[in-house]
Amino acid sequence: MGSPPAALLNYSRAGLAIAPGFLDARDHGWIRLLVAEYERCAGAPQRVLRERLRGPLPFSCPPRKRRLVEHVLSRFWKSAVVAALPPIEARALVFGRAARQQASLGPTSATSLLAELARERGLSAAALATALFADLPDQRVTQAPGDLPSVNELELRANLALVQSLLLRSTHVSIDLEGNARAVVRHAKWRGLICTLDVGSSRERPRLGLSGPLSLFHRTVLYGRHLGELVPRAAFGPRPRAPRSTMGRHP
Amino acid sequence: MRLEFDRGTVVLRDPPVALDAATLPGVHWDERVSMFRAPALRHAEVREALHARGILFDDERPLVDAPLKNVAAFAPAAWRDITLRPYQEAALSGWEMANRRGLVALPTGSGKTRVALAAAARLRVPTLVLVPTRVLLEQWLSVIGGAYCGQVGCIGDGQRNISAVTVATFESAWRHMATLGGRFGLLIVDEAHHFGSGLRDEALEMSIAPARLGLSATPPRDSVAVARLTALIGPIVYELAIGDLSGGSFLASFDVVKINVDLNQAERALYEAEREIYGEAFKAYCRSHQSPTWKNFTIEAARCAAGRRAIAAFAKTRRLIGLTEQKQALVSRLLAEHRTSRVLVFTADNEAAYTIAARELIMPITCHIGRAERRDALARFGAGELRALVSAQVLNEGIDVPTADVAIVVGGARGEREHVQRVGRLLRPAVGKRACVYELVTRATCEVRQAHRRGRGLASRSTAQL
Repeated sequence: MGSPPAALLNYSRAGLAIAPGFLDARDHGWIRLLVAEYERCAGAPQRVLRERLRGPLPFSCPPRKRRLVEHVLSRFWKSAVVAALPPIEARALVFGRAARQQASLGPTSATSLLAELARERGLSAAALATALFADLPDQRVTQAPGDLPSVNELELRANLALVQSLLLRSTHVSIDLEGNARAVVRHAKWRGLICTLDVGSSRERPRLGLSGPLSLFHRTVLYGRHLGELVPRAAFGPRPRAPRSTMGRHP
Repeated sequence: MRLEFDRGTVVLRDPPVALDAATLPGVHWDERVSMFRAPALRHAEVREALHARGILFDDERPLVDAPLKNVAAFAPAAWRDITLRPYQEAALSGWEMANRRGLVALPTGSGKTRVALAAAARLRVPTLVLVPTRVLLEQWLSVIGGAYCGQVGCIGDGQRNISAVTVATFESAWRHMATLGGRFGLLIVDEAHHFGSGLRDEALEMSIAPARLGLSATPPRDSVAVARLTALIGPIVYELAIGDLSGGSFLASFDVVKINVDLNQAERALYEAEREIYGEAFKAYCRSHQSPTWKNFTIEAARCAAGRRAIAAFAKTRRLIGLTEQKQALVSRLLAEHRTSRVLVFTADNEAAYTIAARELIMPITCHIGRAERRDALARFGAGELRALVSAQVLNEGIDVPTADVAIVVGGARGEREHVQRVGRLLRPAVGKRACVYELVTRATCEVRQAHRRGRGLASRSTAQL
C-alpha cells in the first residue's frame, strides 16, 4: 500500500512537537457504516463507489480520518473487468475494422459498425460497446474482499499508515529503545541509515537516532520509506512508544 | 587523507590537521559519524579545491582526472563511430566547452539521443543514462545496442544488471543511487526538465559523475527550476527550437491552422455560471492577500467547502471547453478530410480522449492502456493499419511514435512544453512532406490566451545559444 498523501495526514502541532490524530475505539461506529457503504457498491462500476464517497454520506465523521480509512480500505476492495469480450480484443477488432472501412469506404457510422461486428461475434451491440472500455478504472466492477479485516484491524492499519506517512516526511527520527533493539538497529543498518545511540546516564532508556546521509545537507525524502519500515519493528517492545521525528531542516 | 563514496555522499577520512575541511565546497561536519561529509555531487569541486591547496589525497573513485583508467571493463573500441549532423556537432562542442556539464535543448525528432551517444563514445567513461519511463528504457537499450558492442546494463522494469554502460529509470536511480552513485563518470539525463522541481533530484545529487549531459526538447523557463537544474546538471549549453530546424532536411515543414469554435447556448450558460463561482472566490482571495497566486489559492481553497466548490467549478469549465459540441463535430470533419493521412488527436484529458475514441472509433492511447497493447497499436499505426490515434498526455513525450502527417489539438492542459512535444511528433522528415497541425480554440474562453501562449514555444530561437 502506498503511503497516504499529505492531505490525508491528521495531526496537530504544538510548537515543535507533532501529535498524530490516531483513530481509536470512538471511531469504530462510523468505520462500520463506511464499510457498509462499500458493501452496497459491490458489483457496481468503480465510478459508482467513487461518486458515492464523494457525495455526502448518511453519518458524520472527521473528514481526514475518513479519507485515511478509505485509503486503507482501497487496498482490500479490488475491482475486476466484466465484459462479454476481453477489452483488448474488442479494441483491436473494432478500431482495426473501423480504420479499414474508413480508408476504403469513407466515414462510417459507429453504431452500424458496432452492430455489424457484434452480429459477427454473436453479441449485442451494447455489450460490444461496453467491452471496448470495460477495463478502464471507472468502468471496472467493484468486488468485495473475501476476508475483510475487523474494525479493530482497520483502525490499526490506518494508524500505521499515518505514522509511516509522517516519517516519510521526516529527516531525523529518534526512538527510545526498550527491548527488540537489535532487530531495529539491524534493519536500520541494512537500509543504509545512520544510527547513533545516546545512552546518557540520566536517560532511562537508550535513545536511537536515525537519519540518512543526505539529511545532513537538506530535508530528504529518500530515507522516509526506510524509516517508516522501522515502526512495526520498534513497536514490538514491551512498552511501545511512538518514534519522535524532526520534520524541519537540520541546523 | 582519503575521499570515500558513502551512500550518496563523499566522506573525508583522516584529513590533515592543518586542513580546515569545513571550508571546502559543500563539506559539513557530520557529528553522527565524526567525519566531514559532502554531497556526492560536489565530489569534483572538493577534489579541485584539495588540488588547489596542494593537499595529497587518495580517491576511491578517481574519475575526474583520469577517466580513461576506468574503461578497461568496457573497452574503448566497443563504441562505434557516430556521425553527427552539423547542429548536433555544435551541440556537442558547446557541451564540451562548458566543461562537460550542461543541457542540450533540441526539438523532438532532431536526434538528441545521437548527441548523447557521441558524448559517451568520445568520453569513454562508465556511463549511466537516466530515463523517465520504462518505454524509454527499452528504446535507449536498443539505441545503445546499435552503437556500443559491449554489454549494456539495465536498472528498472524488474531488471538490475549493472555494466559500464547502464540505463536506469529515474525511479530506480533514485532508489539505488546510494550504491550506484560512485560508479559512473558520465550521467546522461533524458527529458531532463523532469528534474529541478525537487522530485527525485536526490538521484542526481548522489552521483559523483563529473560529466553530466541533460537532454530536453522543452527546457524549464521558471527561474527556480533553471537554477536547480544548473546546479544538478549544468546550464543550457545549446538550444534550438522547432522553428530553427523545420523546413530543411532535418525536420519536416509544417502549417499551423487555428480554428476558432463557439460554445453552444447551453454550454455558454454553464461556462459562465461556473466561471463566476471560481472567479468570485479568486477575487475575494486576491483582495485579502498581498501577493496572491493561483497555486496558493488552490491550497487555501481546499480547506473549506466554498473553496472546494470553487475548485470544482474551475475543473468543470476546463472539462467543458476541453471537448465542446462544435469541437466534436470538427474532429469528425477533419478525420473525414484526412482519411488517407496518419492523424494524431490530442485532448486535454483522458475523458475527452475516450469520448472521441468511442464516437470516431479510433484507438485511444492513454495511461490506462497497457504497454503491450500500446506497443501493438503504435506498430499498427506505423504500418498503416490504424489511421488515427487519440491521446491526452501519453503521446506527449517518452514514446517513439511512428511518423504522422496531421495533428488535431482539441485541448491541452500543460501549455507551451506540451505543445512543442506534440508538434514534434509530426516533424520526422520525409520527401515532399508538409505536416499540418489543427488547433481548435474555443472563443471567449481562457483557451484563447492558452493557445496564444503555447504557440510561442514553436518560434525559432534565431541563434543557437552557446
